[in-house]
Amino acid sequence: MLSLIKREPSYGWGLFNLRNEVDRMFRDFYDDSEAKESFWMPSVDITEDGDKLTLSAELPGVKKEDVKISLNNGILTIEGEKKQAKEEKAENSYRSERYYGKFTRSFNLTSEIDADKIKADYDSGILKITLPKSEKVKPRQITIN
Amino acid sequence: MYADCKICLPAAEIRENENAYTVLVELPGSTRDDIKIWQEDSMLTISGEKKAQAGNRVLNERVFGKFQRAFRLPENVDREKIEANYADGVVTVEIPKLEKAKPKDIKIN
Repeated sequence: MLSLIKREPSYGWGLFNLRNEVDRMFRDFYDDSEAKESFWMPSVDITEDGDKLTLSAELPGVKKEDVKISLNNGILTIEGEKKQAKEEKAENSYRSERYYGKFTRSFNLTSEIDADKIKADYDSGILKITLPKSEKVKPRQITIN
Repeated sequence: MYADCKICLPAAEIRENENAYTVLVELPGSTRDDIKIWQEDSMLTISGEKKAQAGNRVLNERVFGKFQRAFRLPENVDREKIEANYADGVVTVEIPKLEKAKPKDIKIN
């Protein structure tokens, strides 16, 4: 492949990963320990419609069993790890714009969520979490007596 | 509304071992039908469209729209035997090297 650039793990890919790069800069600046653990942040969308919130996180290359979701005091946390197989590590990697390692994201859910009815599924690299609002915060029509 | 790009450049990775090159491109949320991979002369191109789902976005970091990545194939590969696969949001294209390009042990006669 032409214009091959030898893999440089701290070399990012332009604006698309600007946030990751800025995070990395700060982390590298404050943490000068030799064994830096690679760490990345997946992109997330949250949509809201009447009675639920839907979160979708891009986790390409992450295995389902490596993702953990928790809800604690209105804070939703998704965490996990994108693992690289040993034999893959041994191969020459010419160019990598991909991130490996651990990730974690937390969200303060402003709406009250019915924790028992949260559903999550993982398909084609997208983690989708459906967060139904609890009955008391659902919009409702009030009829005039 | 959502973030949109004219042509997105999804993150890619190129690996090499004794037998093949592997190109990996991250396309989370695509379906196989959304992704087009073709080889023409020495160019390998992966393109398609990442479609956004409607909804009132309260947080938007994901980017949607058309994407394309192109790679120039080296001389030493078998263009007829390129294979592609899609799993967990990652397209993997295996590009085998030509037999003559693989490393060989040479015996002393």
